[in-house]
Amino acid sequence: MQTDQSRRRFLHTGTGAVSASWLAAQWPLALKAAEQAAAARDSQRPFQHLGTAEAKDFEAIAARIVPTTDTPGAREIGVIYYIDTAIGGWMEGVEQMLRPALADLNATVTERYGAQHFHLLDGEAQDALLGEIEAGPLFQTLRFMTLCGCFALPSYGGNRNRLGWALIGFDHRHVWFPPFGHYDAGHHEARAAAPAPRQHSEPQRHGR
Amino acid sequence: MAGSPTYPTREAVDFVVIGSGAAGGVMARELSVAGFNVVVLEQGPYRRAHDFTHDEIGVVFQGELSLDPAEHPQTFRARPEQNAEVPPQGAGLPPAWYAAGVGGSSVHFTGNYWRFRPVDFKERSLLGEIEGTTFADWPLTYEELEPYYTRVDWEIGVSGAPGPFDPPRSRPYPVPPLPLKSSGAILERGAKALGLHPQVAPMAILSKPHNGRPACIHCGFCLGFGCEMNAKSSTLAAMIPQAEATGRCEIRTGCTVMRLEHDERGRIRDVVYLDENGVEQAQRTRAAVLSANGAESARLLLLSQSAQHPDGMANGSGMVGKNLMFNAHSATHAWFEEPLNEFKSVQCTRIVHDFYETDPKRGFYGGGGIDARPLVNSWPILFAMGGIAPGLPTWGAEYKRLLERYFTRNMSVLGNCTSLAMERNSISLDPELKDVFGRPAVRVTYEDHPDDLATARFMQDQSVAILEAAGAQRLWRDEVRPSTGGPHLLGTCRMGDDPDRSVVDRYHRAHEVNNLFVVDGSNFVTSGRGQPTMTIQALAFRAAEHMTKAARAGEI
Repeated sequence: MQTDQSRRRFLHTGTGAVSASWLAAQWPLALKAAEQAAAARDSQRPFQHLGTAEAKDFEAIAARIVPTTDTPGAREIGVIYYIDTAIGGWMEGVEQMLRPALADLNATVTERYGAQHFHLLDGEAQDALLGEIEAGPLFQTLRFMTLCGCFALPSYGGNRNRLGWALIGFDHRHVWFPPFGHYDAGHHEARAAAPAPRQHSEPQRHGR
Repeated sequence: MAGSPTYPTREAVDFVVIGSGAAGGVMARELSVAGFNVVVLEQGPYRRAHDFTHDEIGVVFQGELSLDPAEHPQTFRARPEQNAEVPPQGAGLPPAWYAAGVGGSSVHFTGNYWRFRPVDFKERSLLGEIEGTTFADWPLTYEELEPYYTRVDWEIGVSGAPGPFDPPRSRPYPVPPLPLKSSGAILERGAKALGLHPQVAPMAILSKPHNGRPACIHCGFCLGFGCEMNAKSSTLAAMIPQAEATGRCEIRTGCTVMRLEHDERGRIRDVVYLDENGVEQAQRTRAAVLSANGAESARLLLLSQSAQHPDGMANGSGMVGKNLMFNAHSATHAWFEEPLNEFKSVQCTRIVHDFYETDPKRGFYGGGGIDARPLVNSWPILFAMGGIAPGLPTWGAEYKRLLERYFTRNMSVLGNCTSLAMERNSISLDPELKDVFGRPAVRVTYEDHPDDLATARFMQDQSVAILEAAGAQRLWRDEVRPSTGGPHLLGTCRMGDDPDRSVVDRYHRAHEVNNLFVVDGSNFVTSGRGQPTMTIQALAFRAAEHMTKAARAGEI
């Protein structure tokens, strides 16, 4: 199962500032977080853990990572609801890094642009600022949270109406039938057109 | 079904089996079906099919099928002269990675079920000594093991069809191959264009109902996940229910074994463990079967020191924990023009075994098999995090466009390769770090032999050639680097005829302790070609048969 080694590589390169062991330690909270997320989203209540201004900033960052184009982006997919519930649930503790880092970012926003908040800038200015911090923990953690918010089970608060999955062509069903994709389609058609296959219980060629 | 027994701890049972994974599940079933009273001690929980999910956050990021690394830390070093350290935060999986729970890692495995070939058991004789290694022949042959491979096919449940390089088999596969996927079709096309011989991937996942279990419904969540259908042939699905149905097998979960204790004659008398409430218990037994995997079986022997066994139980040879082999590997990734939809169905449907054997012309020892699969890119979050080709944007509109296009259009080709056994690669007890139960942590020392890395690079070159021949739009390699861990935990209680060079004999009995057996991947003498589980289980069926005969003859 060599795949597992590559899986570790993805955890390593992908989570960046987010410690996988720290993530792993939080798992008992996940179910609670998922339930809270769904409840909050369905009731249209205000955020449970985020303040209004910081929610707008985090959402603005998420929306530069997966922007709204001719298809839905992080904003429409509801990533901010994932972030809200994750920091009060299975990623609890991460706000201790996120909040000071966001304050630093907003200090730069004020210094350069005279605005109080990142979310008040236009997209070009936002991208320029994010480009400067993209290797750092704020951006990497929000990138991770944005992708979770787009592509995790909707019960975690994001992936609203499964828009994230629809974006990439993932369909979460339990049952599939061949053909599965373009390159195996001919194979299955040929088999269907062929005479009935030989019963499997008949003698096989037993190798050499 | 008979009721599950509850054995008193102070009365001896016939066997205590430590671990319920790929090997332990087979031992539990075989020994209880043979009429023995069996207690299985499993450190993880008892999950059933309906407990498994498609939750990528829970399973992948929170590792809910594995132990909590905060409670069970491990340390790693490349060389024995270095200090071992806990891998830095963010490094992900522990160096010796396995699932905890009834069924062990057979619950979350991919299910690649390659038999060894005859050559695997006698390469040392054929190829000669390799300096700096403990390269050796196995004390058994393919022909001796073949009947047990066939039992794995039929009793565990393997889907497949014969291939051109397969060793002889005494019976056909019980169920036909799983349906071809696009990654398999692409591998087939590329390999044929190069004059190679792609073949059906044998998989421990049912294509048709078999032994009262249902067929796969192609949900796509095999690798890393537990099967919600019992179609994956884990021991949880295939063996444990049959063991419990005898009425003679008790599965005790949440039980962490601390040490083995022997009597004045040197026979194992008690298996000392912490029960699910953390209370120390001792199960009296007539014999013990250690099937805890190549890391934990070795650790438990090293922890079981006594005046008779100052360096650990059954370790007079000093070989306990030595000769660790992870299986070297390579990964190559590609994008194609049309959708493959690799998130559907099982991981692998086609393999290439043309490069299986060592070829002296290459200039190094080793060989392997190639397979095609989505790898981790069938999971949406991990694909988004790491599935985009190097050098392309990782956020923004273009990144989003790449996600939209290539989630359905990517695949990977893996090289699954040999590892040479060396004494310097080992599982040992960390001298400082303790786990949550106060036991010395697992310390992994590992550095691939140069031939292992050369083999992996060679296999990656073949993978690239196949993907190019198949018309990949874009392809890229994961650089082959020295291993820092893995899920294949092989070699640490080697089997052999020489008590000075091995831990167990050819029938898995510890050379130094008459009623102690070690049955799992730790017994491997050589690594095979990267897919060990089928051989672990064939060995387990064989071991159980010999143990049954020996016990009935009063020889345990």
